[in-house]
Amino acid sequence: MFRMEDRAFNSNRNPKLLPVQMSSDIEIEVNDLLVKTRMIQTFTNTSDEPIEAIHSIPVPSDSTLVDFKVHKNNQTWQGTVMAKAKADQAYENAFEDGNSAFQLKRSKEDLLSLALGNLLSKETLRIKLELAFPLQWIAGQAQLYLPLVMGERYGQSNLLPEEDPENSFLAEYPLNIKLKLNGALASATVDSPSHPLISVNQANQYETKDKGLLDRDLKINFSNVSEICPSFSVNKQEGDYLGLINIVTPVDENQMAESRDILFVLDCSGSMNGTPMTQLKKVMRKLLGQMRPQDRFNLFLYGSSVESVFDEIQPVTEDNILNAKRYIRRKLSANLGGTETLRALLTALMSYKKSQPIDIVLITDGDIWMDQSDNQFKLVKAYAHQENVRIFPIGVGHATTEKTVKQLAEMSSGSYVLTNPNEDISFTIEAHFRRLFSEPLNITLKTENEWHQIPTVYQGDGVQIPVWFKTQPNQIDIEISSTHFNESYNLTTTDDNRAFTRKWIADRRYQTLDTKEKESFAIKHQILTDKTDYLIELTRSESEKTDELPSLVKVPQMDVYESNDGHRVMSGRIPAFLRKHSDSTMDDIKFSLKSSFSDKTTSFEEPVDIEQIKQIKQLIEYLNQVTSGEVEFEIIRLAELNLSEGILDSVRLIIFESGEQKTVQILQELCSKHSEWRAIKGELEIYVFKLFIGR
Amino acid sequence: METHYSLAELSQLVDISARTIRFYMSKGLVDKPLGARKTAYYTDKHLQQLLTVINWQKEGLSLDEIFQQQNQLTSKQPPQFKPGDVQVVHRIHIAEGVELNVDLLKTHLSQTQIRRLSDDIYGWLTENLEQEKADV
Repeated sequence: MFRMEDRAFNSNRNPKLLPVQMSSDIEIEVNDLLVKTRMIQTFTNTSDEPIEAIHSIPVPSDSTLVDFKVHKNNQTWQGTVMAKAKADQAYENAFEDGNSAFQLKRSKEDLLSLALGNLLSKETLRIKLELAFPLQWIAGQAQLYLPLVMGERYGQSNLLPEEDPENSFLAEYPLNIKLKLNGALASATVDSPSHPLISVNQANQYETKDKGLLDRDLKINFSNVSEICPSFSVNKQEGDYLGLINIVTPVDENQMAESRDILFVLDCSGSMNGTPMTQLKKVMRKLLGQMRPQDRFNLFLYGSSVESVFDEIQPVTEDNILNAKRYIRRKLSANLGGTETLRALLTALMSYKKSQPIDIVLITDGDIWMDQSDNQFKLVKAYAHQENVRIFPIGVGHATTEKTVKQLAEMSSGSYVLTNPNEDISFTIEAHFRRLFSEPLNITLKTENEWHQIPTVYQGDGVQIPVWFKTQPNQIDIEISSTHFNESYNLTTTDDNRAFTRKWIADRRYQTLDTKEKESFAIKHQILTDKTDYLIELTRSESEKTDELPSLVKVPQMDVYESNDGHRVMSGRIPAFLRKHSDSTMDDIKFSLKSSFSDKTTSFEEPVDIEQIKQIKQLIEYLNQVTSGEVEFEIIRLAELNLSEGILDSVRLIIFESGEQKTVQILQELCSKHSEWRAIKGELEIYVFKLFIGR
Repeated sequence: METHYSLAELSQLVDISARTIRFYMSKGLVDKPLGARKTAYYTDKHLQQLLTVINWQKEGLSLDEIFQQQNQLTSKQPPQFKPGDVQVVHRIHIAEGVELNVDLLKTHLSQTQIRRLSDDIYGWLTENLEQEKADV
């Protein structure tokens, strides 16, 4: 009788549907406020041919790649950081000669792209990456969030086609995690809602209780943290002194009494289907329970379109809160199509006349491609600055796009949290919501320095402040104040010769340099950036070289975990390319091949069949009527003329800043100059950009 | 005599990186080079294939669509499914043993039309079953 163990079966060597098998071992070391993570990814080519494997690795957006190595059997090859063009050339030369080359790129702030050029048939290699990134803090408790998998993101990635990440249902990558705590967190209480941990060996070491998979992000909460004394360390490198201040700021229970308008912007796109939506509802129940009587609120649901729950902003009354809770319980679902997050933020902000301070609470899984160079991002940032609007995102789901929530918070002087579906969110959500009723702390460095960077900090946050000196500092003076307290610190310098601290500080400074200085700076400090790549060359013996050109193979991400009574199922998460239109738009939703396969964003762009010249003439006619006083200028009239939401948003912003008359003049000028909506839209966006940022 | 290009020359001509060209080869959009690894070369045919990909991309087509487009032109059999492909299909139960499978990526039918089609099939079944009963 056939028995499984009779087969000569080696799951790593037999050919698989996906030719590249991967597993991951992660070792995390927490050193006070900065985390050092070693990721060892083991790749095996199970096919009969050599391959060129490309894999995307998500990383925290404020992390620094500290080291890159390749191990095979007992040998190790060390990576070198070099200019991108040089790395590309060296890679191709090695490839052409039948040797192997391994190139690591930082394709986005939160994404690495790894190319394994010429992985031989049945060969196994171990790739070691070392990352440094900060812990997050909330009301004196520390949290660690490490992205391990990417879900499908909505929108256009603008990546090279071979680097665009893919997901596959068939991908299954085992995962082991080890954790070691040093310093003040050594005696903290450790809890991981995503990957249950058990204590091993000594009290400050942990590992995953069960074998895991690379299908969800890692979240670890640290409570009962011993007091962390403020510290200042300095790392010397070739005439530069790279300093790092570590402080956990005091928790202050005082809140401002001033009334605030709170807009809840809720992601109801297809990617929120399942666990993320369940989590969103739980979070909203908590938040609505914390509303103060002096505040006002409204809820905006978005996907490809935006809907508000109330027609107008509402006072916090028992009835209004109850109605909101009922709506969320009964009607909220992930049925609004794509994820137009930035559009939703703009719409919520422009939906009414501001009369008191506004804060936005955005709840999302963040699954979008978003770059700070996008015009929409710049518009939201400009509006937020103009109106002093802060954004407080809450990330939900098993694999939140951390970069989305983080950058939206940072650009508006807000703050963010990332929650896991399995954790008790009470403490985190209550503390996060309290931030809305407090101001960021004022932090001032009193000691002269060449450069430093102070992030937005709220009470109870831990903060790392990188400081750059040209001469050795012996101490540093720093002052932290709020409306209710004022603390001064005089910190004596301690020496730190650790590469990961030095590189993390250098990377922070790199982000602020002029473009022309960046490449040489990155090479000097050996940091992986948008201008530099890591490269390793591996010379093969003549017997290992083949005449075949290795086939290029993408190593896909796993499908993101979806909890359903503990069984792993495909819960019907709708792929990004299907999440184009909400149910509430047209009845005849056309899934043409072009829109189905296209990676481009849709829905707020011009309809494909517009008779552009005719419509622009109609607009000119209307504008002339306005100028002559025959009719009044109304946005709704522009919407009737089929102008896209993109154009209408720009028009609204220009009216806000310059008034209706000026807006009409600008529109007349652009319409007489251009016969394409795309050109008009582009010029309007540039105009708005200059209005809000360029001055 | 036919012009021969190295990968580097081809890459420079079309301003696409060598790796991206290899990616297009893996997708079947560009043929593999001629010759062995060390002496591999590309011809005007490869150049033409690359230019075609670039042109279709400017029109907004995805790589899968470009492949289908090319196969229609050369009468090649478009790919069915390769190992590892995952399909998302709506399965509409009409009656016992009768199901309508719809692949929304391939069909040009709208949701309304699909609903009507389902109703029509159900209606036909009901009518004919009743007719059969009446005849018996």
